[in-house]
Amino acid sequence: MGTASTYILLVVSVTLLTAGQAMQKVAVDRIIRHDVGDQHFFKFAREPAIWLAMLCLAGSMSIWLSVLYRIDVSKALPFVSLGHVFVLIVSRVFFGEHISVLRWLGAGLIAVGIVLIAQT
Amino acid sequence: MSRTKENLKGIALLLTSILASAAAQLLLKAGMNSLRTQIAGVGSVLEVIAQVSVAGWVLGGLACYAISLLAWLGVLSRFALSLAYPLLSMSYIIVFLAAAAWPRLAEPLSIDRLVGILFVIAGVVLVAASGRDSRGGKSVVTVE
Repeated sequence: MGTASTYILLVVSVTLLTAGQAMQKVAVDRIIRHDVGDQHFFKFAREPAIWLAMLCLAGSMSIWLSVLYRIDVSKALPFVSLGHVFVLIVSRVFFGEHISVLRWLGAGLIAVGIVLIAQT
Repeated sequence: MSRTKENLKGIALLLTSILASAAAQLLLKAGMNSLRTQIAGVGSVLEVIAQVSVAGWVLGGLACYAISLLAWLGVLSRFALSLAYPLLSMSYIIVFLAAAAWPRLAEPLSIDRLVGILFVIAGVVLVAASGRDSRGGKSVVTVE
């Protein structure tokens, strides 16, 4: 398999990871909206968004592992940083969260840190 | 429940999720390492014992993942995604330090890698601080 398609797979994996996080957030928000009070495990099990989230995360993990067979971790790990950027964008766009400069800066430092770790 | 109490519960769940996810990584790595020695070895009885031990590590790792996931849902019900997700990076720091300290893995500590870890630590501190600012305060707790 060519390098280009490997990188496309990495982007797909990170996108699915982000979607998985977003769906988990949707699931807990829905459960809280529907019944105030303590959340129980069975309410999660009955929430379709949680299963969609698990599907996304499982897909992301499978693609990730299959790519790691082909390329070095140091080349793949920077895509984890990309995931941090994606999650912040999704939080802003879909959940309307206010993201302060401080938070962007912090997430940026984490992303840089992951890239640096990958290079060693 | 009061907002402060909910926040403290959220922080406790976040730490649980982080620790469980780090433990999962370390256990799976230990399992994979013993799989490698198992392939090198021969002898049917020993092989079975080795396989069981690999399964033990892997099952332990998967159990930790399940704990991490359940705690994470509790975290997401209390904190904004943009606050909680970057904080999950604390597990990298724990994995890095534990992989060096745990004799079974004994992975070398390099200065280069330490610099990367310091960036992650600084980032986590800033993101955590962003959860305390007044405007961010509104998005800290998503529960009305």
